[in-house]
Amino acid sequence: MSSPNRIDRRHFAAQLAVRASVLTAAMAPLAATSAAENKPVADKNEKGDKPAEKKPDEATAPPELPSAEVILLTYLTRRHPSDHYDEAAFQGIFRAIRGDIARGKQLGEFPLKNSDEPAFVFAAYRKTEESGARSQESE
Amino acid sequence: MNETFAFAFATIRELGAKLRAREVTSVQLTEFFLSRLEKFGPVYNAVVRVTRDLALAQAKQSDEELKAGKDRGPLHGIPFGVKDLLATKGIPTSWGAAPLKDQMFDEDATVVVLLREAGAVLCAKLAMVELAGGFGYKQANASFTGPGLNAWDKTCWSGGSSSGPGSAVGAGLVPFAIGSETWGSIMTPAGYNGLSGMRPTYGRVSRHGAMALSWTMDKLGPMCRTADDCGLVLNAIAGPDPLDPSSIPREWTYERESPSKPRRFRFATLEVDFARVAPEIRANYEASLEALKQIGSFEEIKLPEFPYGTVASTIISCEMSAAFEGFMTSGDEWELTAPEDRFGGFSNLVIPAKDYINALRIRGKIQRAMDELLSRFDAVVTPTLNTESGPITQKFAEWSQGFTSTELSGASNAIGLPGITVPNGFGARGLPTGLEFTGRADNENTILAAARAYQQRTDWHTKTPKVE
Repeated sequence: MSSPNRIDRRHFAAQLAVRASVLTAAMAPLAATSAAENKPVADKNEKGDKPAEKKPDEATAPPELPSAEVILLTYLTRRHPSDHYDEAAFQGIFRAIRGDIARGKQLGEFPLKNSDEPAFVFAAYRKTEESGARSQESE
Repeated sequence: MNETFAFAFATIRELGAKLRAREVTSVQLTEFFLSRLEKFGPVYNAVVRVTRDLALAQAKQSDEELKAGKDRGPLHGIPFGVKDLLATKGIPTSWGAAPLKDQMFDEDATVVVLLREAGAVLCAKLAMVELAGGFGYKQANASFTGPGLNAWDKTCWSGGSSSGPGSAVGAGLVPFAIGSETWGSIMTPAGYNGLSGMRPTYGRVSRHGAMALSWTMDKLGPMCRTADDCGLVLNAIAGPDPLDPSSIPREWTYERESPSKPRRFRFATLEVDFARVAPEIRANYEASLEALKQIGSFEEIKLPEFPYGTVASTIISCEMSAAFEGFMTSGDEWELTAPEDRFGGFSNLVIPAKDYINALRIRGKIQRAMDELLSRFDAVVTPTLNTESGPITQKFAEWSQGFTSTELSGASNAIGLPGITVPNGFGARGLPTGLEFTGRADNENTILAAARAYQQRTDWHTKTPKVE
């Protein structure tokens, strides 16, 4: 049964073609900002008021890959298609992904040893005869 | 003293004394609060559903038991409400979300069962921010019942995500309520509405039957008029539960010390970022510290260096993405009230597992470091929030100044430390401000004692709003 909140694969494929240009346009300023923020420190001293000189091998360089944010956004919207995605949604999800990536980076940079185990809350499960319910007790 | 004041803003102990002195019956009390819920609940967007028939049946039973000499304790015959994320058999449980407003469960949450066994009378399922705020709402209009309105000023927010408990207790629509906190959801509405609200140690209160936002960070707790009332309610709902594997496998008892035996407390303070704190909040906080100096010593401490907020937010994001993946991919999420909530959880679906595990690894270190630090103190004292509540027409970012001024809120919620907020004055617009006591794990009785001692020396908890 179809629902106004769900679309089938064929419908989404048609949508995707239409929206590809919207997505690209929506992401362009954000991708530019992201690229600027991720510039190597040395680049910050470069003068920005003169046109960049074309490097000799630029014409043959492979095309730049989309950013991780765009890849993840594309994955999400393809995995979970919806009629409801609009520019606000794309931008909002994009910003959230960017925040999540930064957060993961911060966690990864925290000094942890191989022996630092996660604090999982876990206990062996055994159904008790008395209560018929969960118990953390083990023999 | 008129009846409205005598009942609406009375403490649990005061109401209990009236019941036992036969000055009022539980049915009369219940009728009184039901009529206030029906009249003022919609005014504050505080109520999802009034449970009139159930309440009157429970109240009648309470009266009959008291008459027969069966007294179930301090909550016997006392009306209350629960945040609508607690399952109630035969009564819809909406989780504050429009697409789930008719959701039914076939059993009561453990907390609902325990309160019934304690003789309390369930009068209402109270409003809340949709899905406990886990989808990243940025403004007050984030519930199908409308924005929660402050008991002291209906143009301002009641706080979230326990918005209904906040304004309902604040406006005297129920004597107490049960809220939930994953990160700030009891402290914020309690602080904004001038309540005493408690976040117990993680696992102290069974989460069975409560909506899961974050299995390892969700806590249920009382929202009341006084710290003493929080102790009474916590006494009824705390304890091990075979249906909740994370519940602490030890009984807990509220210990109310005799006022004739004053004790000295060891308080810690943190370096507060006063640049983000409203001047009135700072003044009230400093006045509170002066009052506390009568009963304890102070030492300023620094929290150990950890990415507290990052750890807490990563754990919530990852656990909620698993808890709500089905909902988020069903299409129902587009029916949520706040536009930003409709896609707010999506990015969490692609957070790498190693980020979650690293957050858990760091949490273990935080637990040990914080426990060592807090073992020297009875409580860390901080302003509950940076500002009084702000207008419902504005985004939070326009007025909240980040909500809290230290990293303790993220730290204590990430590792499940208990805390209690009590009212400590008013802000520039005349809305309540709060003082928070945070304790070592398992030290609910210590922070309750400190909060009670503060309330014995101040009268902010006796102030009441004009409800109309």
